Amino acid sequence: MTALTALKTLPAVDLDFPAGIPGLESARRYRLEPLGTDGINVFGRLVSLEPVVLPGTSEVRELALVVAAPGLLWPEYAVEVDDESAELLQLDDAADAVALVVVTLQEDVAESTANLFAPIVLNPSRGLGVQVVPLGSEEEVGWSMHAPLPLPTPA
Amino acid sequence: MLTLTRSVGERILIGDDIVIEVRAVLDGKQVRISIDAPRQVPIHRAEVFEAVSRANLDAITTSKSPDALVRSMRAAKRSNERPTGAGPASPPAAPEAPAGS
Repeated sequence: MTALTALKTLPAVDLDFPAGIPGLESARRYRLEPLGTDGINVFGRLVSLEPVVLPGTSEVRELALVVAAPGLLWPEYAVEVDDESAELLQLDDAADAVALVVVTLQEDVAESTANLFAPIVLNPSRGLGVQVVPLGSEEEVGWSMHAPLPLPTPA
Repeated sequence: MLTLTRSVGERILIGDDIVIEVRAVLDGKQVRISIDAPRQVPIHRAEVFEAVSRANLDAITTSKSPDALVRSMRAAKRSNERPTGAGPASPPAAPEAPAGS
């Protein structure tokens, strides 16, 4: 099943991640907040609705991931949603799915990267989300876990 | 931890509904196995899953403030809206998002 990624702006929605997000399994409830400016809602924050104990630490904090709608940044991007994920998302039709990618921000924005390999796929109408982790390697899948952000450079 | 020796074609049962079969030993280094498990049991290559977990943890520890990202998008949008001097924008310059979508 292929998730459509034509999405160019992010919706504001509360989400359940029934399987958690790898590495952050203790948080299941998130809110997607678009970082909208001037009609560009390419980026957003996925904020946990409960404080999380970070793995390997005793640090409890709100957890937030920066995410991007890949439609404008990587027009050719498409992801396969495996049957397990489709079931977790209660997805009847791939057209209902929305893909996001996790952005790792760096001090220098131009060095920021996005995880195209393991997208977060949502079923907004059911308020469900899953991070799809492919079985194959990055080479086999063809999308990088640390893809440079194609930020348009001001002229 | 349980360690077993199995031959090609032999199987291991885990609980009622997970079956692992050794299908082939490829070159003395690689083993091809098949796994039959209920759909709700996630199956991953460990190194791939761990790499995704690490990437997620890196993303939260470094995502201090997305302000710079938003500023950069805003600046790019403004410069794209200028009628002249666009220049060869190499990466896909984000066109304006359709209003209201």
